[in-house]
Amino acid sequence: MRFLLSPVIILIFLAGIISACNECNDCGPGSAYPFFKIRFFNIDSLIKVEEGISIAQDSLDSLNVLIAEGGDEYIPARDQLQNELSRLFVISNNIQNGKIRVESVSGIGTDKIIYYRDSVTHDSLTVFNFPLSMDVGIANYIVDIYGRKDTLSVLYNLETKTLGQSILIRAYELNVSYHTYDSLKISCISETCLSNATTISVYF
Amino acid sequence: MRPRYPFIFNAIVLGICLFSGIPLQVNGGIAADTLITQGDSIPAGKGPFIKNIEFSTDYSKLAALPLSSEDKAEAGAGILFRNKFGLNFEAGYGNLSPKYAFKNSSYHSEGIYGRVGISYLYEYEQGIRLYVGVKYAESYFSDNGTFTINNPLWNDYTGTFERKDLKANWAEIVAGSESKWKGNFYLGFIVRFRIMIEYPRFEDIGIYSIPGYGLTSGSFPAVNLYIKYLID
Repeated sequence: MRFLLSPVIILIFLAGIISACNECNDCGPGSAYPFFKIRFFNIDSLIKVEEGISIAQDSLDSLNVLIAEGGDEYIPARDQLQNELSRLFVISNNIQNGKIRVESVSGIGTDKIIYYRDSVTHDSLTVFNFPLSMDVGIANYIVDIYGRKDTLSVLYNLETKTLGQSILIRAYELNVSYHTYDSLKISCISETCLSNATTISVYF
Repeated sequence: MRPRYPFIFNAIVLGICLFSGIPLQVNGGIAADTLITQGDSIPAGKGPFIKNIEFSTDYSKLAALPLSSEDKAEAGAGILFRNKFGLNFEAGYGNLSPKYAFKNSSYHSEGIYGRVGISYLYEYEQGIRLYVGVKYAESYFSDNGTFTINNPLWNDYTGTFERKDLKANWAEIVAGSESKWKGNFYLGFIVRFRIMIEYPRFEDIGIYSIPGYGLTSGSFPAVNLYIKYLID
């Protein structure tokens, strides 16, 4: 009977020690700032591209008629036009998907600027995360796209929360108070329009 | 030859904990728990109504002080009835600064706690005792911390929190073993399975650790090593 005593006790003991050593596996500086997602749709450019597609399509039809009537000398021009048309379709598709290259965003009242052109991908994106100020419930942005600078102002409330092992600042009841775009739409997953889960779609 | 398994085992575990820096338990806890007989021939359940009075302290807490970010002390007293049933009291102090409480915040909790419990003794062999029991515990404490949140566009944010006059209570199911060391001194260990009854819940930043209980994030078993002195 005694030979059973020590192994059982050891197992109980080790279970206790292992459970007690519940250390954090991913500890380090937190990045728990609030942000909202934003998408840009360049409608002005889309209209122009669509017009270009329409004109190119008409020209392509005319060239195809001429080629069908024996005008083989138009074949290179038709091929070139087809390539251009394909390029326009790609551009149109990108604009409709909101894929765009934002140069930078800066905040009014802060010296910091986020340059997206310096990002790792250095490519167009469809969704951008704009950080919210944690000092007050308002954030004013200047957004630079192709040299066009627009202003966007966002209002919200702030609260402190714990998520897992991070203490974070969360914003809720997000709303746009001012902007210089043609229009925009706010999409909230929850009724309270929480930060990190709210997307603003901008049309210009 | 007197069996020495529990004594050797206690010494080994203490050595492991000292050299690895492993805290011997999540929270405070002592072991004045049990009942002890004098290591002689009186079988459990027999003998005088009050067999002895005992005093104990958790030496693992003291030994781990240089290696731990926590400052804890604990002592207990108990009475053994009929060489079989124990009534025990424990009191302790905890000054906890867990390094990994939050990724972006310091955390500190400090307070006192007490436990009262009953236990049942089984004398496995002369000088070796096993026991089980239940306890009720309360802790009175405060906590505070400072957290920082970085922001790539706006000012970084530094916030603080401080809560005072907090109270928590919980129950424990305990089991342990102890063996006679020298004279009236016994060495032993106790395993605690804790069941939280109530502690303050905050919507913003929750309580991370409670003196005497440990982490609030889960009900982990805790282990204590203790030395006990008996007065017949």
